[in-house]
Amino acid sequence: MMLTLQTTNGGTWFKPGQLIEGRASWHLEGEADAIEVRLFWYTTGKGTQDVEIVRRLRVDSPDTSGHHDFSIRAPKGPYSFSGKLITLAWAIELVVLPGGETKRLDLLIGPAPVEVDLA
Amino acid sequence: MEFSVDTTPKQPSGCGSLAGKGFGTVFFGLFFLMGALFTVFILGEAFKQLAPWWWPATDCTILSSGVGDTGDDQHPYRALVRYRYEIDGRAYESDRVFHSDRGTPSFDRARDRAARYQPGGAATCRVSPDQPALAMLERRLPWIVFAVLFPLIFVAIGGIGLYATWRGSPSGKEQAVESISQKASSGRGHKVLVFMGLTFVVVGVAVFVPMTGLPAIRLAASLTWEATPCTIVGASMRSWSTDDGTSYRADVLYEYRAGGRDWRSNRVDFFSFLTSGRDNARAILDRYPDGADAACWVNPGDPSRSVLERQFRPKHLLGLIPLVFVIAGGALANHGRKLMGLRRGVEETEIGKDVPAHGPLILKPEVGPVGKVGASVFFALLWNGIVSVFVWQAWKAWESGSPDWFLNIFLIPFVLVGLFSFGVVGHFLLALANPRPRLTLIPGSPRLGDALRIEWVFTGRAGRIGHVRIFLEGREEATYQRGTDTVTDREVFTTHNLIDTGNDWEIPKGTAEIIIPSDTMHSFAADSNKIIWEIKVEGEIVRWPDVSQNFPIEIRPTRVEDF
Repeated sequence: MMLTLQTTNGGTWFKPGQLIEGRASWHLEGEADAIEVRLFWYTTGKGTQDVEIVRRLRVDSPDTSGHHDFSIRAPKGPYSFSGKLITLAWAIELVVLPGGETKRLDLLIGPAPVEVDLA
Repeated sequence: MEFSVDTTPKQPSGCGSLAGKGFGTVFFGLFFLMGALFTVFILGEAFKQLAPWWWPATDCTILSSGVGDTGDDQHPYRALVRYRYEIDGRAYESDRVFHSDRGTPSFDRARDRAARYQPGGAATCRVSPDQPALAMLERRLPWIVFAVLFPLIFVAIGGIGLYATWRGSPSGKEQAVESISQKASSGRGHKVLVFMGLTFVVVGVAVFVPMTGLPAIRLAASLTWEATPCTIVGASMRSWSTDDGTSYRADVLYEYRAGGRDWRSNRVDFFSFLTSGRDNARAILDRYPDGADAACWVNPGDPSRSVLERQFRPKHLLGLIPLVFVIAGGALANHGRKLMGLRRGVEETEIGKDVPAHGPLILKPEVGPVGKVGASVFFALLWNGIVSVFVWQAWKAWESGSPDWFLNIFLIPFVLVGLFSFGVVGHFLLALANPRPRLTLIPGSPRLGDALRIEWVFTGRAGRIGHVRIFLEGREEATYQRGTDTVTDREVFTTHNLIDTGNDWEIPKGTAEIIIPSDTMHSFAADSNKIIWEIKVEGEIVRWPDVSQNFPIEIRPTRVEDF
């Protein structure tokens, strides 16, 4: 099984409100119920992990090989940031259902090309 | 940029996985099975109670009516009503009033029920079409069906546990890959919190109302009742086995004359739930020995209602304990509701769902002075109420001449905490007299990079404040589990002074303005991780509790159009 995830211009930094465009491609070994492209943020650090999916694009009953071009507008928040206790990061995942096989592309969403530094 | 990985599944370590699944299946399966068994039993009983509603109505004649003794100490009295009816020309007699009539601890209740059926009178009874010998005078609603909620909790826990144990892992495939987004909460947990909180509230109210609420209302109503001579015609210690041992109750049957006829009752006081226990029962029997004369209180409007004792006792305060469930349940439900709101809040951060800029906003303190007093009083009462039970035991041991030293030493830290809690109550009570800050934020919902103006006014005697500091603080809050405890760590990442002065002309009221940095983090709140912005007010008062109040504010991300 091969999963690929790429942005159109290869960039991983997006300002809030900017379009995140790219392509999700897959080559499956068998049939899948669906394929999802998810834009989400997640926290790491001392606290229990929080995860929130803010956009979900779904392709039902996909062919065993194929691709899906996506275009998602970056939300205005929360920004990617890193503090002494919490780090918040954005990512896009391509997930095969129901198996859950995954490909992830880390992103940075915020006003500047570096995460907000609180440390 | 292109990423490509081989996601060929790895084989899971089957042994541990299988053992875990086996344990989970047995553990949760037992929960599910026991819950299901009790559910079936309760529903079966409810169906039996419901059956007479479909039985045909038949005329019957009351032969005798009175209060009988069941021989059961827990439910010693029963309305004994004998009646006759005919089916297909054959006469039948029965004394069954309703299904599952096991008797009652209240003589009044049995007497009232029997009084509905006067000897020689006509009534309508329900007769089983299959068993003509089986008849009942009354049909009752199957209230027992609500008891099914309790075993259903076990069914739910067992079912959810079994589902979680086996969910989505029929093969090792899913365990071989790690998807972070799969961990995203669906929000069901928050709904469960709300449901659990509301369940606590319902259970707390359901216990409080019959245990304390109604008795307190009856006690208040009895203040107009008239003192009437009465004679104790039966005094005995009732006892029965329970899961926790043996329960005791003093059964004092007394007779009095009112409204031109004789009455009997066994109501000693209104708080029967709180006067159980062997010592209590013994004390009551000592006060009302068999054959003794006493005074009871009789309702002049309804002489059938009477009571031996109508005074309030401190132990009746124990009846307030169910309110702890109500308050805790309410707080839990409110917390769950807020968390559900947080999820909505995150979604609203999406493009196109912007909220309009706000005008001035008068800030509300995180916890006001009255709230601090309420919370500290609640804690002090709860803590000391529980500790006092053990202190009382220790004191009784002292009185009897055989002090329990282990208990005495064990109680010392708990008593100290209790005393400290009273000190905290005193501190917050004194702080009620403090001048109170009133803050206005302009704009009410600022964004990163905005100019922020804050106006403050102290109400009350602001001249008592010798020094004041008002500042904006941004901090991280991370909540996590450590063992069985839920811990929240806090880390301040920025502070901006608005005023820091000891000049008495500057303290009572003023205005300050700052620019919120654009390169910092906006307000953010998830279940366990938060970025909190607050305006803090700290005022020093000599020889008096200081002014200390926090005002949470929301700082929004920069306007998208500004990028």
